[in-house]
Amino acid sequence: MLRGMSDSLDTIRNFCIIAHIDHGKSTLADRLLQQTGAVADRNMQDQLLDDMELERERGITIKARAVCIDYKHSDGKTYQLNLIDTPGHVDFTYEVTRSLQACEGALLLVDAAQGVEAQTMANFLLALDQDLEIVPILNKIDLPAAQPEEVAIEVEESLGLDAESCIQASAKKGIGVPEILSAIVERMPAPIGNANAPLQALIFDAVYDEYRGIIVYFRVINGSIKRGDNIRLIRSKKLYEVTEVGRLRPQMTAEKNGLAAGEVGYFTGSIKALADVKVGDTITLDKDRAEPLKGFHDAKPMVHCGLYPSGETTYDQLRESVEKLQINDASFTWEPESGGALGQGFRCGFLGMLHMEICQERLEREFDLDVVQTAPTVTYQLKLKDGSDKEITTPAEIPEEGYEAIKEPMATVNFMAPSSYVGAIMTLATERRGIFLRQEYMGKERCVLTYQMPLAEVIYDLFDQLKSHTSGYGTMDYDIYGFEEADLVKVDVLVHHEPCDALAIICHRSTAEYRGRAMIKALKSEIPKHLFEVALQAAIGKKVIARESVRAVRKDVTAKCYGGDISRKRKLLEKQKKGKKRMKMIGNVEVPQGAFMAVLKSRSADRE
Amino acid sequence: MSIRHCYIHIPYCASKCPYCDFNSIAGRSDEWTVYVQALLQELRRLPTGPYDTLFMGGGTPTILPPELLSTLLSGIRSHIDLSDDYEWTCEANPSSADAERFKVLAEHGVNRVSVGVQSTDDATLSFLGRAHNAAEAHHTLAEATAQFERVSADIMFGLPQQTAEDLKRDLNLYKQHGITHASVYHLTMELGTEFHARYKHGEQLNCSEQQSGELFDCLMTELATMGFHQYETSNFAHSGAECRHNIAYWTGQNYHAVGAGAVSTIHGQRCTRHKHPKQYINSITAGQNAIQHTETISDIDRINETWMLGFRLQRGVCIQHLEQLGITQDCWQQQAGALQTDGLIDFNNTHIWITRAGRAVQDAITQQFFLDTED
Repeated sequence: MLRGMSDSLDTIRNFCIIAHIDHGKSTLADRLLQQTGAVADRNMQDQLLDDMELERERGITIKARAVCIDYKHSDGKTYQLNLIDTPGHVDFTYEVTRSLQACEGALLLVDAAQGVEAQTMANFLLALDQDLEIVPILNKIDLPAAQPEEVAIEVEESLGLDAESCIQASAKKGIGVPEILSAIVERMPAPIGNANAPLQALIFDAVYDEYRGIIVYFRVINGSIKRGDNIRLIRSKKLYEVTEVGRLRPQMTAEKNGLAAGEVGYFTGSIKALADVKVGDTITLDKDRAEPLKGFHDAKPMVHCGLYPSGETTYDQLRESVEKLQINDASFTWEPESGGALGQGFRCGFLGMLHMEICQERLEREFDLDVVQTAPTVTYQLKLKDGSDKEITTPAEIPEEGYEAIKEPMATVNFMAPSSYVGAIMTLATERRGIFLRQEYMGKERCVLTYQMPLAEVIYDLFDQLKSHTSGYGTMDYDIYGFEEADLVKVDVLVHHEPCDALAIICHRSTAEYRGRAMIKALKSEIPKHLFEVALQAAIGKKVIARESVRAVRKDVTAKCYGGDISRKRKLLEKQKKGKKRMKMIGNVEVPQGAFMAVLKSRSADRE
Repeated sequence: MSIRHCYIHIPYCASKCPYCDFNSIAGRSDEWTVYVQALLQELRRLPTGPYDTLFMGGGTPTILPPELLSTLLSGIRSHIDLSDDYEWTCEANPSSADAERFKVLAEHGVNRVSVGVQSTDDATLSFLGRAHNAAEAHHTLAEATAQFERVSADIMFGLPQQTAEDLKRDLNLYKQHGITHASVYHLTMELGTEFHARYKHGEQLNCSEQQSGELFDCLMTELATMGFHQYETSNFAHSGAECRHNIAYWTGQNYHAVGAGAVSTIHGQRCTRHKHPKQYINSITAGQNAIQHTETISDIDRINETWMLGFRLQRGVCIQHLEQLGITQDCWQQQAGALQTDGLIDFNNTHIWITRAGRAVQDAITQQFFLDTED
C-alpha cells in the first residue's frame, strides 16, 4: 500500500535497530525485508542495507539508511514501517543520535551468547535520551553457546528492561521475526506531527550517488514536502528546488504526492556539495519557514593524519580522490600540506581511528591509489609564549620556540568485559594514563569500568590492546568531553641526522623514551641497506633518547656481463632504480613507504 | 666503420650445470653436424672482415669431436679474414677438451683458450654439477698451457660456507699453471636455473652477504699479489693478457654474432637469434636470418649501458664518450661528488671510475647514474 500524504499517522512506525558490532543487526534487517515481501527472496543479497562493498566486508554500517516496509498486521491493517539503519561504531555517535531522533522506537539487539556489550549499553543510553520505546531482542538463540535466560536477566539488571519483554530470535534462521514485527506495531508508538504545519524535517543522512547526485535522507516532523518545493536548509542557509521525493523500498521509489509528517524518505535536488548538507540540520519551506529542530552540531574531526601519494600515484590523483571521498563523507576533512620528505600531500581529519582506517582503505580500493599515511594525532590546544592560543593537528605545527602549555582532548572510556579481566583492564588503562572513575556490574559476570583518558591514548591501538588483554572478550566505547593540560613532548625521528616531520609524534613525557625506542626499532627493520651506515635517532629537542643504525651494504655487484647479457642486466638495474624511486627520500636515505606504517604500529608490537 | 668483432656460439654441453643460465643444451650429438653447417651458412652472410677478435663460446665448443671441430674452424677461416694482431678465443671444458682438440684449435688459428675450471675442490665441483673433478681440471690446464700462450681459467666463488682459505687454494692454480688471465665469478642464482628454483624453496646455495663481501675482497688482494690487475669487475689479467673481445663489449663496440641464441649489436639494433638449435637450424637452412628478437637501443639505453659497462672497467667510463651522448659533467657532478667523498668513485678529466672500495657495491652506485626510463 502506498501512502503519500497519509491523513493518519496511526499506521506509521519509525524504528531503528541498535546493537553491538556483529550482533546481527544487518541480518535482522534483511529478514524483516524478506518476511514482509519488501524484497523478493531471489533478489536477496545479504546485508542489503550496507551499500558499500567495504561496509559489507567489515560488517560495519558506516552510513545510515532508511527502508520503508509495508506490513500487514494481525489487526487487518497495513502498517508503514520505516527502518532507519544506524551506524554501529563509537566514531559515529553523533550520526547515531540524529538517526535515533528520527525514530519513536528501537529494537535492541543483544547476542544471546555474548550478552550486553559496551556498544549496546552506549547506544541504549542514547536511545533512552531520545525517549524511544525499546524492544529488547535476544538474537542468535540457535547458537550452542546461547544462554537466553541468563542474558535476559542481564538485560533486566543492567538496562532496566523487563526480562519478560525480551523476544527470543535468530535473525539468521528467521526465528522470532513475526513476533518482532508484531511488537513493532503493538509496543512502539505512532509518530506525532501536524501535516498542515510549516515543514520541519530532520536530515539524518546524506550520500553522494554517482548517477543521482546527492541524496538526502530525512524524517518529516511537521508539514509536508513534495517535488517542486523550494526548500531551505536552516543551518547551512542553502536553498534548493526539490527534484524528487521518495522512499526506499529498498530501491529508490518516487512519491508523486510527496511525504508528510511522520514519514521517512529521501529527496534529491540541485545540491552541489555534500558539505552543505549537514546531518542534524532542519529542512523547511523557503516561503513558509519553521523553527530549526534541536540537537544540531557540526561533527568535528578529532583525529588527524597526513596522506601522501606514493608509488605511481600522483598528487593530482590523490587530490581528486580526497575531493570525491568528501562528497561521500562530510565528516572527512582535508587540506593541502607539505610533508618535507614526503613531498606534497594532505592533512586529513577524521572522527576517530576507525573512520580514518575506512577512509584510507576506500582511497586505496575505490580509487586504486598508493598512499602513505603519517602517524595519527589528535587536535592539541597550545598556549603560546605571546599569550595567544593555537590549535594544532600535527607535531610539525609546534613553533620552534615551544609553548607555555599544551592541552589534549580527553575522553570518557567505558570498558566492558567478564569480571575476571578487571585487573588486566585496570593495568592497561593505567598504562594509558587513565583515571579511574567507577566500576559497575552488569549481571553477575560482567563488569563496566569507566575511565577518563587522553584521546591520544584511545586512538593509539587501545581497542586492539583491550582485545589482547581480555582474550577477545573486552569491548569499549568512548566519548570526548573536553581538553586538559598535560606534560606532553614532541619526539622527533632523525634519519641520518635529518628530522622527519612525518614521523614525529607528540606523547606524554613519561612514555617518550619508550615510544622513541619502539619507533627507531621499527624503522631499522624497514630501511634497506645503503652505501653508508644509516643512523636512526629519536630525540626530544636536542636530546637523543634512542638510537640505532642500519649497516652499510657489503656487496652488490653483478658477477658477469657479456654481449648477450647487456640488455637484461641494464633492465635489471633500471628496475631496481625504479623501485628505489618509489621510496621517499629523507636526506640521502631512501625510506620505503612500509616504514611509515611500521613506525605507526610500533607501539603495539613493542608492548606484546 | 667496419665491425671488428664476432661471437660464435656452440650451444651443446655434456650436461647442464644447475647454476648455468647460458644458452646450452645437453647431448643431441646427432644434431651437431647439421648445426655446424647452419652456423657456417650464417657466418658466410657476414662481411669478411678483417676481424680483430673472434670468440667461440658455449655451451662447450670443445664438446665437438676433433673432425667436426676442424670442419667448423676451417669453415670460419675460409670466409673470415683476421687482422694481423687478432685474438681468437675458444672456451673449453675439462670434461671434453684434450690435447688433440687443443692441437686442432691451434692449427686453425685459435690463439687463446678459456677453461671453465670453477673449482679445484672435488666436493665443490660435484655441488656445482660439473662433469669433471679437480685432477681432470689440472690435467686440462696443463694441456692448454702446453699448446697456448694465452690461457684463461674461470673460477667461481661465493659458495655456501666457502672460506677465504678455500678461495686462495683455487686461486693458486693461476700461479701453479702460469696462467695470465682469470675470470672469477660470484655464484648467482639466475632465474630459470635449477639452483634458483632450489634457492627459492629455501635451500642454502650461496653464502651470506657479509661473507661474499669478504671473499671478494680476498680475491682482489690475492690476485693483485700474483701480478694480476682487475681490468674489469670479474676479470683479472697480467698486463697485456686482457681479453680484447670482451673489452669490445664493455666499451660499446658493435659486434656480429652467429649461432643459436647469439646476440649481435650493430648500429643500435640488438638482435637475438633463436635459442633452440633446432629452430635456429631450420631458419638458417630455409634462408632466413634466425632472428627471434630485435631490440632498438634508445639514446637513454645507450647512456645507461655506457655507465653500466664503463663502470665495470678499471679505467672507468670515458667522459668524452658520455659527452658525445649528451651527458655533460653537470648531469653527474652531484652524485659523483657525494660518492667521491665516501671514497667509492673517483674521476679526472678523462674518466670516472669505481674505486677498490666501491667495487663490491658497484650496482648500487651505477643505478645512481642511470637516467630514468619511460615505461
